[in-house]
Order: sequence, then C-alpha cells, then structure tokens
Amino acid sequence: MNPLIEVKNLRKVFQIKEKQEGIFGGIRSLFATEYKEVVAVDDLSFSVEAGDIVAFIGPNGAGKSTTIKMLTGILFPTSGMVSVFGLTPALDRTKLAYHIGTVFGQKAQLWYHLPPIDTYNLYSHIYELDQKEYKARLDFLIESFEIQDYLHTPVRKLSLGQRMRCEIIASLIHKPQILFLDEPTIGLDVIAKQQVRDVIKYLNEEEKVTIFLTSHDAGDIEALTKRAIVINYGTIIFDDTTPKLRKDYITTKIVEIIVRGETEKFNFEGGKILERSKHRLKIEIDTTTTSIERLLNYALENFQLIDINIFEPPLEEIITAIYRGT
Amino acid sequence: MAPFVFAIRKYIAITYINYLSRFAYIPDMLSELPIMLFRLWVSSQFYAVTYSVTNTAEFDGLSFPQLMWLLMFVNCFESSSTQPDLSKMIEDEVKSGTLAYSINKPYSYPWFHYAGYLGRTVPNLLINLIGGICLMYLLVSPVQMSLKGLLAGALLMVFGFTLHFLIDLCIGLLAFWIEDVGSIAYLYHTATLIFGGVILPLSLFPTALKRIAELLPFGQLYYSGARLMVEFEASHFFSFLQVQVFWLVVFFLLSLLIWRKGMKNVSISGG
Repeated sequence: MNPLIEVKNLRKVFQIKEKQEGIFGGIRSLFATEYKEVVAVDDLSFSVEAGDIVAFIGPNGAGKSTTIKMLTGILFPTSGMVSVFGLTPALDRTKLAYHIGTVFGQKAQLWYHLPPIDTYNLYSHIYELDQKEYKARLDFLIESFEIQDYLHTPVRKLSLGQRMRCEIIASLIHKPQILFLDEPTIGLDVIAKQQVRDVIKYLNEEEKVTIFLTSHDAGDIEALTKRAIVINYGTIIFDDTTPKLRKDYITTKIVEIIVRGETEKFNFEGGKILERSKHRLKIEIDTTTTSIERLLNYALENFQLIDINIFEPPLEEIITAIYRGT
Repeated sequence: MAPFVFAIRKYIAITYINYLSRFAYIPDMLSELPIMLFRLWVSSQFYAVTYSVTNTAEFDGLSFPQLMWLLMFVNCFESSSTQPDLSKMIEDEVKSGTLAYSINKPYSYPWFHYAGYLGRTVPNLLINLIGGICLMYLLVSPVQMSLKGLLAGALLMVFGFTLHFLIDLCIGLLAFWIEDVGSIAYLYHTATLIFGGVILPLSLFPTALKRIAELLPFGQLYYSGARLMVEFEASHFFSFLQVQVFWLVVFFLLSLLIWRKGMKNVSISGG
C-alpha cells in the first residue's frame, strides 16, 4: 500500500529582502536590493501511512509550519517531491482541499463579527456537503467540544479557548481524511487542551483520520502520537516511536510548588531545584529515577501546599538531548 | 446534484456571509454615507455657480439637474465598491498569514473574493442610493430617465463594478511581492477621483481630454453607466461597452497572470 503522505528531498528556500539601516541605506536599497536566502526546509524525506498519528516537532523557526504549508499546497516547494493522497499539493490544491483539514493555531478562519454557526454553514456549502449529513456532523462536534452555549455568539466576543475550539470544529466539518494541526492547543487552558486531545484521539481511532501534528507542547505529543519526527534547522534529527522519544529524551518533568511556609527547609533528594523564592519552588525531576508521587508526598508531609503545577520540559531541552545522544 | 449547482451554491454562500458580515456593524456601514452626501452637496453648490456664471443651460448635453444626478450615481457606486478596499483586505491576509486559510479551501481564490465583493457591495449600494436619491430630490429637481437608459446603464455599472474588482485584485495580489500596496491603491483611487468623474464630471472636461479620459479604465468604472442612466444614447452605449470590454479582458488576463505567478512566490507570515 502506498503511503498517504510521501515527502522526498523536500527543500524550501525563502528570499528575504535585506534593508540597510538609516535613510541613505533605505535609498540605496531602492536601487540595489539585496536578498538573503533562508533555507526553511532542507532535504526532508519521510512518509506517513493511512491512520497514523504523527508528531512533527521542533523549536521556533525549525521549518514545521513551512512543511505543513507545502503538504497542504499553500506553498510551492523550491525542490523535492511531495505527494498527499496521491496528489501534488501545490498543483492540485483545490482537489486536495476536499480530503484534508487544517488547523493553524495562530491564525483565524472564523468570521470575526459573526457567530461560529455562520462560518460552519458557509463551509457546508464550500465543501459541498449533504445538508442532512452536515447537521449530524455538526451536532457531534458541538457536543464533543461543548460549544452549545456560544454557537450563536459573535466570534469577537469569545475567549481564546472558546475561539480555538470553534476554529478546530471549522476544520472538521467536512470529515477530512487527513488532519494537519499546526499548534492546535496553543494558548488553551488544561481543560480545553484535554478536550482537543480527546477529539483528536477519537477522530484517529474511530474515524481512522490520519493526523499530522506540530506542537510546542510535549504533553500533546505524549498524549496523542505514536510516532515523532523532530526537525531542527529544516532537517530531521529524530524519526522514531513516541515511546522511544519519551524513554530516551523526555525524561524530566518540572514541578512548581507554592507553599504557605518558607521554602528554606525544602530538602528533597532526587530533584534539582531550578528556582527558589520565599514561598515558591521549581524542581526538575528525572522521572526514570524519581516519581512525581514521591516528590508530592514529601511536600505534603513537610509543608502546607497552596498550589502545584507540573510542566513538560521545553522542546529545546529535548532537542539538545537528541543532539547529545547522536 | 450537478457540479455547477454546487459551485453556484458555494459562491452564493460566500456572497451571503459577506452580506451578513457587512450588516454586523451598521454604524460602520453607514459611516461613509454622510461624507458622500456632503461631497454631493458641495458639488451642487459649485456646479450651480458654474452653470449660472457661464450662463449655459447644458454642458455636453447635460443640464444642471442631470449633471447632479449623474454625479450622485457615480458617487454612490464608487463609494459602495470601496468599503472596504479589496486590495487592503488581500494585503491584510498576506501580512497576518490568514491567507493560509483562504487559499486552501476548495474554491477559486479570485472567485471567492469576487463573490465576497458583491456581498459587501449590495448593502452599501442600497443605502447610498437611498441617501443619494433623497438628497437629489431636495437639492435639484428630478430628471427624466428612460427604462432603456436605466437598463443599459445598469449593465455598464455591473461591468464597471467588475472592472474595479479586477483592478483592485491586481493591486492586492502585488502584496505577494511587495510589503505595502497602499501607495499603489492610493494612486489608483486618486486617478479614479480625477479621471473617473467622481469629483469632476467628464462632461466638463475639454473635448480632447474628455476623449482621452473616456478611453481610460477609470472613466469606465462608474461614469459611463451613470451617463447612460441620466441620458441614453445608443452610440455612447456601444462605444462605452467596447472600451469597457477591452479593459475587462486586459485586467482579467493581468489578474490571472499575477495570481499564477504570485502563488509561486507567496510566503505566508508567522508560524
């Protein structure tokens, strides 16, 4: 069986205009414009099978979004081959659009002054959906994302979390077979993140939707994906299973503890204190040797806790660990 | 259902949502009307004096009331089609990166904007026409208009609207290469104000300049249609139509070329 997404030696170079400083520099640039070449994606090759759920991760400027935009036909590659659904995205963009859904977490597709329902109705026509099927699909999505209360509220009056949920629904209305998610949980609170993850999981498991996900949140990757591709400076530095990524490189958690008393006496063995203030501590623990439970038990026994937060290690740290390991 | 029925339905839906969105902020929609009415009132004072001091009953076959009705139609249509500017909308899409969403849907991007443009223009036009016609009844006497003239004028107005769309689309698509298309849009709007008969009717131009202006695309946006509405002449209709069709073909091909080349050049901002 042919892979659903196939990428071979993909490369994208942007020409960025360089401007000299000052007034004279600006005038000089008018007559002799200089361009800098920025290689956003360099010699990328990978494939994704139908039904896979793949994390495509990397730090800012690594080339994740550029790759997604080439996979969805928004950008033309400089060189290399891209095939999605057997189509060449840049040439068959309109045909491909019926089969794919995209969520760009930092951009808006809902009509700002209108309620989300108006955008959904518009998309039902744009994707040429049967109106009966569309209503059933919409009901399912409304229930899954719990947006009943603000379906008829103008988008401009929604909170970021509410808006993101509505944005994601807009990308799912036409039952896409491949879903490209570019930072879908950015800016969401814990509950909203979990809702998004649950629906993504459902779509993959029940509707067999292939998911291609970029995220800064290592939690998304751990919770959702079976395979992770890590890129940095436009090239792949890791392509293996998510459990392997977790086992080998995501071995730490950062725990923030806020206590009523003073933190001076906090002396937990098995964790590294990253930050300490009068009532607040940030501790990094290696989960392969120390459990979070042990740390919390220690804190509960010795202090009166006010708040606890658990963070994933930043992606930059995971990437450093990959480089160290290779 | 036949594919073309789906296609028609999707573009009607795009027109409809733009129409709805325009009504979401009624004060915004009404904001241009007083400015346009004020401009027409100033023009009426100015041209009343012009007719009076020159002691002329007609300029280029138009009486003072006819000239004012012509100006009213030109201003109503011009003001309707530029709220908001398409070129500015495309530039914003490129700058904000929302172009990523608007070009990856199963429709033609230029047709998507054309359908949206019609949806935004219709409510603007209705309000402008109501305000403009009321003002003309107050300022000058009503003029006689023939059904033939109104129909021919309306046809040229539809072509003129489309011509404006194509020119604005070409300017907007330049945002794929240049950072700010505002200055080019400004030049175009200024040329429209001067050579499009928005401030100074082409009928008052010296004959040679009037002939040149009628051959330019600016005069074919709204002036030619308005002229036929207030005074129908078959010869005018056919000559205007020829020039309009010529410019429509030119800007249609140009927009197609810019769109195709631009798509290869586009770089979408942000993550």
